[in-house]
Amino acid sequence: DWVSHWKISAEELNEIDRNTQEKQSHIFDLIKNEQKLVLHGKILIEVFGKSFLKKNPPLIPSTQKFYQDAFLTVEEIIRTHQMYLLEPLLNKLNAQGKYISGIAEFYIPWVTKALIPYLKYCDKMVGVRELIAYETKVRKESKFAEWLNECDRDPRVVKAGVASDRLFLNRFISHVMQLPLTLGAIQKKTSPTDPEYRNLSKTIKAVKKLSSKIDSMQDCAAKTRAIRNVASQLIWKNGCEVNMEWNSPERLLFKRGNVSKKRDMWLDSSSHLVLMDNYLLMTEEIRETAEIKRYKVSERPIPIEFLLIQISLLDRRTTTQPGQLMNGSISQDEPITYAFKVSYAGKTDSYTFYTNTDVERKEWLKIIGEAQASHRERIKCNEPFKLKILSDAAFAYEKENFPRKLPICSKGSGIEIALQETAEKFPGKIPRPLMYSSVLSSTSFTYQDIEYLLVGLDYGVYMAQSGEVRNWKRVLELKSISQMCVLEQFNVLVLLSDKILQYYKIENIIPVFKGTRTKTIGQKLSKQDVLFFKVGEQKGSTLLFYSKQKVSSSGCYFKVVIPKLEEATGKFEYFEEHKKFNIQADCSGLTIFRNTFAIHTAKGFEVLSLSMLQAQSIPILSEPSTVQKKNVFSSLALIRKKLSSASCRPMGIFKINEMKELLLVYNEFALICSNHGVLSRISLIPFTFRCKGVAFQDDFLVLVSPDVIEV
Amino acid sequence: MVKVLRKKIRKKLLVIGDSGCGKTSLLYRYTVGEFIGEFFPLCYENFVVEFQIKSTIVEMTLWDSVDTTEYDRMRALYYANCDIIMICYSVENHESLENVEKKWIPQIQNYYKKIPIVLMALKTDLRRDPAVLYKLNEQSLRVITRSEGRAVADKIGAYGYLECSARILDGVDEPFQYIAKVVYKTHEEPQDKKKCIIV
Repeated sequence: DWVSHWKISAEELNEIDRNTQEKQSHIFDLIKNEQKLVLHGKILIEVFGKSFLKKNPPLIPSTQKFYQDAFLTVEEIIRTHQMYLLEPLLNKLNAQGKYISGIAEFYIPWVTKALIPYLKYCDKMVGVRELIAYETKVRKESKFAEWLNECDRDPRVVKAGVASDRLFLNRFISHVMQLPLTLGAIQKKTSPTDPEYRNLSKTIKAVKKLSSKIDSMQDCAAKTRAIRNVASQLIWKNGCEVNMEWNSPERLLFKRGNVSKKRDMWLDSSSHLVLMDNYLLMTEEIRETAEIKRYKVSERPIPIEFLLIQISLLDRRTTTQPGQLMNGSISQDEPITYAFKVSYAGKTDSYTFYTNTDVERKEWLKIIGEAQASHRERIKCNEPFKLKILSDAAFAYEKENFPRKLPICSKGSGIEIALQETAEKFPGKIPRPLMYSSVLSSTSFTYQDIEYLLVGLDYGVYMAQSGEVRNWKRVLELKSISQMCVLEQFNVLVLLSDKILQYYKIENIIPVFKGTRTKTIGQKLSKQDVLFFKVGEQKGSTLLFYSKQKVSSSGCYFKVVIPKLEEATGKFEYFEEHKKFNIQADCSGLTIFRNTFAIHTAKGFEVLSLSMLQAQSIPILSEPSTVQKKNVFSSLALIRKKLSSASCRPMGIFKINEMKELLLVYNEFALICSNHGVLSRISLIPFTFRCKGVAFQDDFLVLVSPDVIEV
Repeated sequence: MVKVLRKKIRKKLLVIGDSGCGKTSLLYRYTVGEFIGEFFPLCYENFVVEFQIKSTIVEMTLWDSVDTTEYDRMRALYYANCDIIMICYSVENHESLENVEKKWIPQIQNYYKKIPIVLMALKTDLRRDPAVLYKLNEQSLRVITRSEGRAVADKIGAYGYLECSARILDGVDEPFQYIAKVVYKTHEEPQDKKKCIIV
């Protein structure tokens, strides 16, 4: 140490002030540590590096890469230490001798020079350490491990008191971590009035900053490495592979680990879950050799945005084992397991996994929540719609339909944010629901500059002013209102209640809502049962189409009516019959265009005009000429196959691209054709799930299914 | 006849504990043989020591640590590939014993589900140091006794409880010999050896 280095006698020591003793001793340590670090770096390069290169045959396949990653990175670090710290410090030692001052000035330039080499080192070392661990711990009789042992026995290494594990693990990084401590100890012994005191403060701050940058690089490098490992370990089933975009800088591995899965009656199998930021992968471990594990993707990966999590309230699972099946008893030491269910929203895929402890399950749920929240955070700016709560209390599930397992609403989701906003706006207890029913239909309209909302339920139509979340009121006492539409121009509400098509004047409904009137009566439009209706505009007049089922044969009657105004007042008076026609097919819907309309049948879309009731099927698929490429042909074949598939249902047609093209939406995919009905793009837009309803708003196609709404 | 030593096993001992509790002094005293008192280095380079147990040589690297609470990921490098961990506390510092459960055990659990741990009481000579006793008395505290330390060791499920004083060279060698035996034992009987399942 300092005392013995300068051969300071006990008498001399007595004369030296205690603070100075300690400060100089620390400075001496600082220089010595720097010297030692450079020495260790040189040993690593000279002893380990050189012999590694000389080995023939090479120890590992990618010799050059390992040499660059493990040795050249260190060489750069050592160079900065030598040039910017050790040499100036030694010069100072030679010039000032026993009592050194002004060492802080060297560190700030060093920090700027050392940053990049250190970050590079961290990045590369993750892989290096992994390789060393693999060669020494996993592989048996590895030549590489032998070489490491040889190097550790080298007299230069032994003399320096280091070993391979420390050199490769933390020798250089821990040196940086310790610097602020030593510098801080020196500062403590420096008088605050000394300019060096302030310099030391600055220096310590700079070194700490370097440390934390190294720390986060360490984290980042480990994460990238973990992702690369996952990517290389996966085995995809044919056709099942999804594009994970492994190389995207946003890719993150949230968690991976084993959970058990109930397979057959009694066989439990283990499943290896990999939770990435974009997908949840469910894999099964395959041991290729004793050393190499790979993971077969056993199920369709679930995109994070479609991932639903449920936990069942029953934590204890009763597993039946073969022996128990026969004698019917359940053994006492039955393992208690904790289940959680993941499912693919909009699809039927769902899997139940079990963990051995509640803590483990909580951990999984927590991390899945985090993954979902971070995903949402990322796509937030792309979200086209903001959710608005219309009612948080008025309606509730019927008892028998009450969902037993509600998906867990993850943090930061649109629903949660919207609910929170409402809760803030209307503090206090949530009132009791007005009605237990499912919502069958809804619409909104503006009357005298006030926006109103209408909801059709199993029993009754409820109404509220827009924004009045807690102020719903029943205005019409009707049964199962499956369709509603307000003709704002005429102030008429048309609705389908229990297959009866009727209309109400808005001016009669408003008083009921306001409480000045108790009841209003509607007018029936059709004596027969109506399947559905549709309102549209053609040639400047509003048309109401409605469809009635034929009693005797298959097919539908259609009737078109036009609202008529009272000449004197300009108010709506009645609906006048305009046209009647017959369709020899079961229709499920209708789309009205300017001159024509399309009916949705089980076979697809049929376009007709009211003047000429001649049906034309769309899309028109032109036969590809032989000149056209093969892939055009095959994709046309695919479209044909999809169109003729039994599960294919037409859902709606929407105008896109400034009315130049039509978007034909089916329940599982969408096609684009020209406004003449000829297929204009050969690509098919597949949906991730089978939808039950569609809507088109501001160029966004909204698909609805019981679990998901996709935009 | 010369006995042939068949095996050499390499093990890593990580020494952790509150700063100032005497970790570095202990290691310095044990390996170099000097008591470094107050002019001690803040962190001590690691040393390799060898033990012979039966026909096996246990080569153990002793890793000193610096408290690096700020840098989580770098700390992982200290904890990598450990075979046994020694948690130290100082008998005159109650906080250092409290931190065994509060700080160090949770930190270890971040990296290892199961690893042998020994609890080590340091500076035992201070139990008889009048100045220390007086100071503690003023705060109405006492020095930590052997039984109090052992209770914590039992609570954390430590493999063993040891005490030493680096200053008066009391019980400095024994802990390391004991640790060598523990790692030898755990090496011979792997922890995760599977039990037979009878269906």
